[in-house]
Amino acid sequence: MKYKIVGLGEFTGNEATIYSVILNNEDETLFEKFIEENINSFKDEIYFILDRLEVIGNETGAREIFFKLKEGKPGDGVVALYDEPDSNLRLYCIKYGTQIIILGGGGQKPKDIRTLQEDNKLKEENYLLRKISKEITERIKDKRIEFSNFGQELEGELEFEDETDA
Amino acid sequence: MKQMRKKAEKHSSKLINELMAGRDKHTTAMTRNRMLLAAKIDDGIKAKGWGKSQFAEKMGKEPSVITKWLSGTHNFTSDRLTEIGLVLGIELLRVDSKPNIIRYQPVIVTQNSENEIQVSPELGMLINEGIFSQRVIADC
Repeated sequence: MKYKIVGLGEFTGNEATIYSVILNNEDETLFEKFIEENINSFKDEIYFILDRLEVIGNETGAREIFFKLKEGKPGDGVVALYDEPDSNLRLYCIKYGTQIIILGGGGQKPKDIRTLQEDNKLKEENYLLRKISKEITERIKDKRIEFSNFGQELEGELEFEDETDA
Repeated sequence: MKQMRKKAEKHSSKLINELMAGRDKHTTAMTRNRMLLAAKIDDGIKAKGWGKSQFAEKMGKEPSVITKWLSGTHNFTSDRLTEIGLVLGIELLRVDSKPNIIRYQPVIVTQNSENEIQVSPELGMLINEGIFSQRVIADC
């Protein structure tokens, strides 16, 4: 699998930089796919998510209070954006401090499940972000990716390719 | 192959741009205000040196309620904001500035035998006394 981290100018502002991920040279990011998959059934929730991302990017930054933490492995930064209490959607992200978010995908969270592993779609989207987070962390450790602009941007080797595919 | 060190490529999305343009401005403003209030409360808790649990205790609430309040999705009542403001020693509602007051005074409009309109008291007098704003006169 190949993928690259791309910046989303629609939400990025003075307080946070918002990124998403493009897989295998596709035209759309994971976040756009999430929107397309859910816009017909959950239009209001999608608008709500767009509003929240705009505020995070421009006014509040990615404060912990706006996210459901620990949605991945310990310390990997995988979180879910909080939504309306009776909302049906889960959007997974990777959060670095309050200044960087990488938006992934997600899906509908059935009311009758307790863990994301009980739903194949949520599990698939969440585990993809866990994998991406792990690989970014490795590059940060190797200094192939660094935080720039006072911690507000990612810079470096932002394109990835599985070694088995190379 | 080693990649060049560079910033992320910018991705522009027609779909996102269209949806952003089609949002309801009232709903967007409500979402924004809820988030800004939550951020202000979050700052107030941190300024006190408290954790979420301590704040919950001071408010007489369960920590899960505080999590909901701070998620930026909660629609607070003005009473609740007053209560939170008192506990944190911060101002969340600004109601101390004097509101603009428009004073209204009834007038009698009559038509005399020569079809002239007469207003009592005279409009000029009311304007001089600051009774009517320009907008209110237009309403007359």
